[in-house]
This record gives sequence, C-alpha cells and structure tokens, in this order.
Amino acid sequence: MFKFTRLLTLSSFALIASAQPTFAEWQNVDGANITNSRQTFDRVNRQFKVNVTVSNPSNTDLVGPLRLLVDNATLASANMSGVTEDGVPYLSLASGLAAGETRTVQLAFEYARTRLNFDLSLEQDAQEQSDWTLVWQDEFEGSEVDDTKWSFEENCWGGGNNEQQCYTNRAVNSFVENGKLTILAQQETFTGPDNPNGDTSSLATLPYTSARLRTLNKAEWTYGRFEINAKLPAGQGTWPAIWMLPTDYVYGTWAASGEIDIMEAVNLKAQSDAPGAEPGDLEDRTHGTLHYGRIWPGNVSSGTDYAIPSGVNPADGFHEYAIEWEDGEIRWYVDDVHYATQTSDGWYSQYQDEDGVWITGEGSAPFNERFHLLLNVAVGGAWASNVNEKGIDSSVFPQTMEIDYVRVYECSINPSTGQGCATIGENAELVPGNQAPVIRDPSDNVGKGPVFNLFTNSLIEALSFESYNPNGSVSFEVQEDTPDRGNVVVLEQSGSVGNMFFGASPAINMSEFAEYGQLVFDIKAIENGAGSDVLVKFDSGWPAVSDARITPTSAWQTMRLSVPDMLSTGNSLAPGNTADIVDISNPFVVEPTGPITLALDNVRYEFGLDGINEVVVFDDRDHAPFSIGSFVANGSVEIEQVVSADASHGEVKQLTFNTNESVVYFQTQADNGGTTVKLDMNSLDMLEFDILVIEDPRDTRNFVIKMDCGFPCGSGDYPIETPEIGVWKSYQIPLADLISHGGSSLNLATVDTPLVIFPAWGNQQGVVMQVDNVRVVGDGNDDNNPPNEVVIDSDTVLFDDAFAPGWALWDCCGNANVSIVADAERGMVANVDFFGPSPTVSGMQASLPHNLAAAVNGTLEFDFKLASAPNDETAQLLIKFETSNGTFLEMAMSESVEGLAPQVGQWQHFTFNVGELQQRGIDIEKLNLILMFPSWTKAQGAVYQLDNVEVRL
Amino acid sequence: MKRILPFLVLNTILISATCSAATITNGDFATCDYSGWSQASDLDPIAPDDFTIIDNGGTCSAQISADLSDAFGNILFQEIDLSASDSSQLWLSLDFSVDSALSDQAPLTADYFSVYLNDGSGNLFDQDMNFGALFDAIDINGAASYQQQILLADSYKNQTGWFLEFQINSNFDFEAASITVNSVALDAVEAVSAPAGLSLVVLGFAFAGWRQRTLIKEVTHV
Repeated sequence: MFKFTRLLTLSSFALIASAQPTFAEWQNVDGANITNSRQTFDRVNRQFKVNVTVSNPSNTDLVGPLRLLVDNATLASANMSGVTEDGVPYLSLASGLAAGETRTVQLAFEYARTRLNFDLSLEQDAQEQSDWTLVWQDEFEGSEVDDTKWSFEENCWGGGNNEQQCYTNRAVNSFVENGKLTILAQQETFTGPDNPNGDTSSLATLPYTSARLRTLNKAEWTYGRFEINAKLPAGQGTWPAIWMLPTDYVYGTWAASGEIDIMEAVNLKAQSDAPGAEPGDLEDRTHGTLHYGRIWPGNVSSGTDYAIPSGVNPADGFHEYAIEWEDGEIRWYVDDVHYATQTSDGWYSQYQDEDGVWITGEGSAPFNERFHLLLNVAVGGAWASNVNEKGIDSSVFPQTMEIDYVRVYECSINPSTGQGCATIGENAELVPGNQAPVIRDPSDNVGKGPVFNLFTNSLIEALSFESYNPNGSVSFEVQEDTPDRGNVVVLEQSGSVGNMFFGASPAINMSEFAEYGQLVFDIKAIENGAGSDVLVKFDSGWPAVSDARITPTSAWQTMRLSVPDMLSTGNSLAPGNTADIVDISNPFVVEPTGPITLALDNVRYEFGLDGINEVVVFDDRDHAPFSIGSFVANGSVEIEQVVSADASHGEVKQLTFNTNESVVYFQTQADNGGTTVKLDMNSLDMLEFDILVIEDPRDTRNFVIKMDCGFPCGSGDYPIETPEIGVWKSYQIPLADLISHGGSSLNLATVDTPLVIFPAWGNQQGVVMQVDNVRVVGDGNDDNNPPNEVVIDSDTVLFDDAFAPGWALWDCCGNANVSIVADAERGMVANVDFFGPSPTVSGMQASLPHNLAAAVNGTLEFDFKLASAPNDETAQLLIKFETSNGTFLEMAMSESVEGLAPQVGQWQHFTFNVGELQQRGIDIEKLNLILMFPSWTKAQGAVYQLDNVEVRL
Repeated sequence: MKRILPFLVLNTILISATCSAATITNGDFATCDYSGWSQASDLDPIAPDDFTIIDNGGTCSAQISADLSDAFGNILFQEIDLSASDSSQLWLSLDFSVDSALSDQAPLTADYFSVYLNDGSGNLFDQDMNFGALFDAIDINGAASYQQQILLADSYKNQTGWFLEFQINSNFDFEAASITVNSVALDAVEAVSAPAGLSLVVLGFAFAGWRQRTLIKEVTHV
C-alpha cells in the first residue's frame, strides 16, 4: 500500500482514467458515507453535473486506490474513468481517504430533459501493491523551508533557456505556510550571479524573481516512486517544474547524464495551442519528459503531455504528479492516472572516453544513477515565451506554485532495481523515444561519409598496402615524419613503371562520394629531380580506372581531387573506361610517371563542392551527404518518402505535422561527435525547391524556410509565399536574399543545412505537405555570386534613420537594450541602454565583412549623444573596431579627430581616420563591428544614441 | 427585511476603510436591468419570462423562475473580478430569497437552487475551491431568504475566468418556483491595521465570516 502518513484535503479530486493495478481485486467499501446533490445544468458543456461527497467516518484510513461506481444511471455518464469487469461505469479516486476525511467529486452526465437517477458505491483495491515503502517525505508542516531537506539555488542564470527570473532564497519567493510550500514568482528587477554556480564575480539583472529548491546532497535516489501534490501557477510566461537531475553526472554534463521531468507546464490558462484547440480554449496540459543523449548540443528528449479530463485545469487545484522509476522503465502519473511510459529502448547516453572515442552507456544509462529533486517556477524562457500567446504577460504576476507534499517511496520487492512494484495503467502511452546514433567504428565505416579515412598514421584495417612493381623499381614504407604529422607513407619510384596502392578486399561501395566526393590527401615531393608527375587513381580493376594527374611540390600540399570529375574523365591510359563507384577494389593508387620520392599522408574521401554548379539535395532520393531530419519540441512530425500523385515528381518527401513546434531540415552527414559536414556554397546563387501542400487547416497559412551554416549560424526565418493547397509550387530563393535578410548570419562558406522548411513555428498542426527537387544551383557566372563581403567604394551611409542592409544593433552580453527610437531633433536614431550591471559591449554589427580598402584615406564618422552617463563616474567612453578575421582595436572615443570625450546630453560628431585604424592593426578589408561602450564592468546607467554613421572616402 | 442592517453597517465601515478592487457589476441591480449579468438555460432560446426584474419602488431585484417554461435549469451568472492584495480577504455577500407555489414538499422533491463558482470550464466549486457549491441543490419549499457573508479561499485571489452563478432547477412538477436576487457584492477586505476603534468590529466581522465559511446557514424563514 502507499503508506500515507497524512492525507490532505485536495482542492480538487481526481475523476479520471486511473492506473488500475495489473491484478486488482476490487472489494466493496461498507463503511464509507456517500451522498450526492441533485443534478445541475452545466451551461458550458451542456451537461448535468452532480456533486458527490464521499466520507470515511471510521478511525481507519481507507487506502487507495478507490473507485466510485455509478450504476443504473438513467443518463449516460460523461466523465467516467472506465467500466468495471461487470460493465459498471466508475470514477477513480486519486488516493485513499484518511480516517474522518470527506471529499467531493463531480460527476458529469449527458443532458436530457429528465430526472437523473443512479446508484453509487465505493470499491477499494484489496490487491493494491503494498510494496512501495515511504522512505522520504516533506509534508511542509513547519513554518519554514526545511534546510535539512532542501537548498536554494540563487542565480540570475536563466536556466540555460533565457528564462527571465532570478532565483532567490528570500521568504518572499518561497515559504512554508498552512502545510504547504509556496514558490512565488513576481515581477521585480533583481541582480545576481549570471551563472548556475552562484559565482558573484559575474552578474546579470533580470525582471522577475522566483525560487528553485533542490535536494542535492541532502537526498538522492536511484529508482522509486516520487509523488508531488501541487497546484500550479497560471498565465502566459509561467513555467512550473517538478523534476530531477543527476547528482553525479557520471556520463557527462547535461543532458548526457539525463534529466527526468516529472511535471512541467507552461502558460496554463493562456490560449491553448494544443492540437485542435479553438480560440478561447485554455492551456491545460502538463508534460512528462526525459532529456538524455549526449552533452549539449547533442542532447535529445522525449515525452508526452496530459490533460486532466473534464476540463479541470491544473492551475485551479491540487493534483498529484508522480513517476515510478525502475531499472529500464519510467512511468508518469497524474492523480494516479498512468499516462505515459518510457523505457531504455527509447533512451540512451553517449559520451566520449579519455581517448575521445564515443561510447554508448550500458544498461539503462543514464537513468541508472543517483538523481535529486527540484521544484521551481521559471518565468518566460525558450519554451514558455514561444508558445501559446507568446512572450510574458506581466499582468498575471505574482503567480505561485503550491506544493502540499513530496513523498518518495522505495520498491520493497527489489530496492536495487525498483522493479516489481509497477502500477500499470491500461491506456498509458508508450513513448517511443529516440534511438542512439550509430557510433561509426572506422572499420565499419569503410567507404562511407562524412569522412572515409584511408591513412592517418596508419592504414585502416580494411585496406592493405599493395604494389604493381614489375621492374622492382617501386618501394615504400611507413615512416615517422615530424612529431606533429606523425607517420607518413614514403614512396620511391626509381623507374617509370609501377605503382603503390591501397587494396580493398572485398571491394568497397563508395557511391556516397559519387556526386560530391573528393579524394583528399597531403603530398610532398622529397626528391623529384626528374620533374616527374604522379597519376592518382581509384579503380575497380583494370581498365575500370579513374585517374588524375598531379605534380607534387617540395612542400606539403593538400590535394583535392573531385570524385565526379575523375569518374567522368575515367582512365586516361585506356579512354572509355572508368571506375565503378559501387565496386572499388583499390580506393587509392599512386603511380609516378618517372623517378621520384614522395611522402603521403592523411588520405581520405570527404565531401566538397569545388567546381560543382548544381547541388541536388533531394530528388527522388537523398543525395549524399544530405538527408532529411527534424527537430520537434513536442508532438511529432512524420517524415515519409512517397510516390507523388504527379508522375513528374516521382518520389517525394511527405511531412505530416502533429505538432506546432518543429522544423524539418535537409542536412549534411555528421561525424561521431555530431559535427556536420560544412560545404562552401559561395559559387552558387539560388536555393530551389518544390512544395505541394496536401492539407492545411490553419487559419493563417504561413510557411518559413532557412539555410543554416552550423546553428545558430544561418539565414534566420525567411517567410515564403504561401503555396496554394493541392498545387505544386516551385520556389527559387536567391542566396543573396538569404544573406541580406534581416537577422541573417548566413555564411555560405560553411553551409551544412541548405534547407530548413516548416509551417510557421507555433502554427503547424494538421499540415501535410510534400517537398521535392531541393537544389542549390549556380548560374556558372562567378561574377554574380552572393557577396561574401561588402566593398565600400564610395561614400556610404551605415545608419541614418535606419541601418543600411546587413547592419544591426548588437549587444554582446544581454545587459543592454538596443533599439531604434525617435529623437525630436533628428528623427530615428539608434539607442543603446546599458541597463544591467554585468559587463557588456554594444554597438553596430554587420552580417558581412566590409572592405574599407578604398577608404584608406577616408574617414568613419558619426554623431553621438551620451544621453545618460554611466553610474560609475570613472567609466571612460570607448570605441572598438573588430573584423571578421579577428583583428580589433579599442581606444577612447576622445582619440577621435575631434579629440573630445562625449558630453552628457550633447550631440557630438566623431571622426576616425580609416588609415589610422589600419596602422593600428585593423584589417580594414574585414570590418564588421563598430562598438561604443563605457569601460568594461562600468557600463550600467549609460544610455547613448547614434546617428549619421558614414564612411567617407 | 431584505437586508440585515447590522451586517450592512459593518460591511460598509470595513469596506469604505480598506476595500480594494474586487467588484461585481450591477450587483444590486440598481440599474433595474440585467446590465453586467448573463443568462443561460438548457432551453434554447431562453424563455423571457424566466428572467424578470422586480421593481419595488425603485429598489430592484432579479427574479429567476422555474416551471414557467419548459426549462429545466435557468442560470444567472457574471464573471467576477477576484483582484485582491496579499493581505486582503475576499468576501462574497449574498442577499437573495426563494419561493415556490408548493410548500411542505417531501425532501428532494421540490424545485431547487444552487449558487456556486464556475471556473469557466463548467466545473462547480465551493468557497474553498473544492468541487461543490456555495449552496448545493437546496430545495425551494416555500419562501425563504438568505443573507450571507462568505469568505473565499485565498486561492481565489487574483484568479481570472471565474463566474458567480445562481441556478434554479425544475423538479418537473410544473409548479412554479423562483429565486430573487436582491444584491451581490464581492469585496477585497484588508484584514490588518484596523484603527483601534474598529478593531473589535473587525474581529467580530472576521469571526462571523469564519462561521459563514464553515457553516453557511444564516437562513431566515419568513
């Protein structure tokens, strides 16, 4: 039995589908008093409601689970948990009834204009497992938070999610009163450590305060049942959480060592964005989630949500949130309703050993170590602020999460595994979770991307050194070069016939490299008095050979040979033949044409786009190194490859969105560390793709794309024209537009995700669409390629009422508000307000480097008004120039041509000679940051405005 | 008497000294109409005669009837402003009467009424925010009047989307019954810092309120 030492009156009662034990034995309870009111009309749902009061007048607790049977009803019931084995509808009661306790539940019946009659009885599960033993609890009966059980986290870190609260240990933010712990979040500017460790040497200021309590180093558990009875806060921007973190992080930092979210909720009672929600429907879901995988950003998560039946909102009353955690399985409950299960089949932990080799944790890792409990209310942040009504509604604060009790049970059947005590519900969702990425063993990855290494210090086991040496003129060996380079292959050809090659048996399928592969290796001519060339080849056995001719130099060079070009060229010695890429028996052949001594190193196949004018990402099939994937915050996206109804499209990708928060992307392969292949698309001009929207029930049918260069590097959200439903639409997006797009940081030299496509975030449910013909193409004219720099060759205004394209205000560290504001004299000006105490620098940032070479004899000028001086009178106003290649120059603003320091309240003109900036170390061909700020750590209180920023030749 | 004078006076003193934002619109039907109130019924459309205004020499009340039409349940409701400071208490004052054509009916056979708080989703709650009602399906067995001061649980403070509702239900006897709502008020009362001369009054009021919260039965038969 659940050994409740105290059963508190619940503000609301569970009326819902319950966790019926596997082998329940239900028996009638004779001693309970049951009374009911007569029917009232529920105007909202057009149902009848009946209040039923259940009392336990005895001196003995009635241990749950209990169920209230509603028999012989003259109207159909509308909120029953289920039916008994005899077909009698029943409501599950969340827990037992303490001696003397009375509770009221509410029954719902379908409406008909007739008198309602029914019979009520109470049953108890005599077989309910008595195997959970209470091992830890806090009933919050005292007058203050029990510091033997809880400690406070105190910081303004933001939880890693850009949350807007500082956590404090003050009584205003958490207190114990009337048998409950209250965590109160309120609007209040507060300054504290900007890090999770509470290190006060670095501070941040945030606009809300709240509390986060944890049992770290006071109570930790591996396995058990964890029950928390709580009433949740409501309103846009609230994010209560009852959760667990690892104590020891044995598999690495978050989330490789796991996170168990017993309950999270965001924005309760704000407009619901649940699938199918109508305007006016209020958010009522709580979530149970696991986070695991690799350390951030290689983490993944899985879970599901739950809404209490009959429209009961978790913010309106107390409900019990629980998990049962055993080796290999975790189950989630609300009011004893078992609604979700996850197993180790769907979670994993991967980490690197001391040698950097990726390892998948054994057994049920990471959820087989010590975890501790946390209770908190966050405000805003990456989740809460981006869903429902978006942002934070400050008018709803203060908000509280009240916790009636926290109880932890151990499974007495098998405490070491937690197994044998499970409470299994009939309708719980088995959350599939995520499969561990395949860790590629080099010996298993022969011929595959993202990099197929043949030789680095040694030849891989799948290959062997071979030689065609009819005259005995070829010799080779592995030698140590410099310590940095390690071992290299030294090949000596004293004649002109013969070669050395890496042989593969069996032959290798290298088709992944057929379109965008490159054979890459380092080579150096140690001795080449004869000026010999070298044929480099791969082959499928003579004459199925592809080759290229190179001339090594006496210095190490990295050679990149295009695989498609070599396949196209074929065998230069036997024209008309070429290698069969799916059957490569010798992936690397070096054949000097005359006497030479060579060194070779780092032989591999990888991906590159040199000379490629059309990159096919998807057309009928994924084209390596690209494949499709998705990021789903919650819910799901189904990705299928289907045959289009339009024969001209062949096979297409079909995306079905059962979520409002997801993106689908076409991305390059990643290595074991999760690093994706970066491709240089600077020579390309246009992103092309086709969309067919099959279903789209949304009122606002907006779609968005992006191109990423290793998130967060990317174009930012780029809205596209809404396609008509049922009609294929082709898109051509100039890459130049993606670069100049506001907020874009797209770098075409490092593209890893040529297309991210999704119905607008927060508004996706029900969309079914197909995608085809994803390509990035060039027009063959490199003169019109998207720019990778902005050349200043005439007087250029960077800001006047608005920024020139590509420029924006920027703040490094979240302690300055930057905006464009109206000035009475000057119209719109840039405004930088250093509101926070933490160190920060702010100013102007360009998305592309600016080449000011033509202005080497010119000036950079601007008007500047120090609207408010820094609080610290000793702070000096500085200006800093930075470039995309790392050069920078910081100086006092008074070092301008005018020689004056900024004066409060005055518009002043500042001029800097570009040539002087160059002399002092700035690469004036790469300028991308112009920053004005008070001395480091002394900025708070300063406000400045900027206007008429201009480069003059 | 429609009102119990001592309560009214105490209430006025307290509220005038310390009340804050919680309000009910047209709670005393001073406009002699249903301004601020909404009506609902299982009958669609609502029968106009089921909702009337009684004008007694300029003092108006709302009357909701059962068995004048085919409606099973008629509801008068209003979304309420539960704004309150941390240090205040939310007091709900109710003044209403009921009457029926029949009297001396057996228990649970008469038309009946309920007063409750609705969270907007159709669930009915009592003053402690438990499932239930302030008045839960009470028989209308002849005339009776009710004047109540009810302390709402702190958990109601600053909640939104809640409704106060009066419901009258037919027992399908086709004999008329009615509930007459004279006035309703919701006040956020500061429970601290009463002037010395008021302290006893405040204590007395608080005690009365506590009794109401636990026992709600200041019923006067006339």
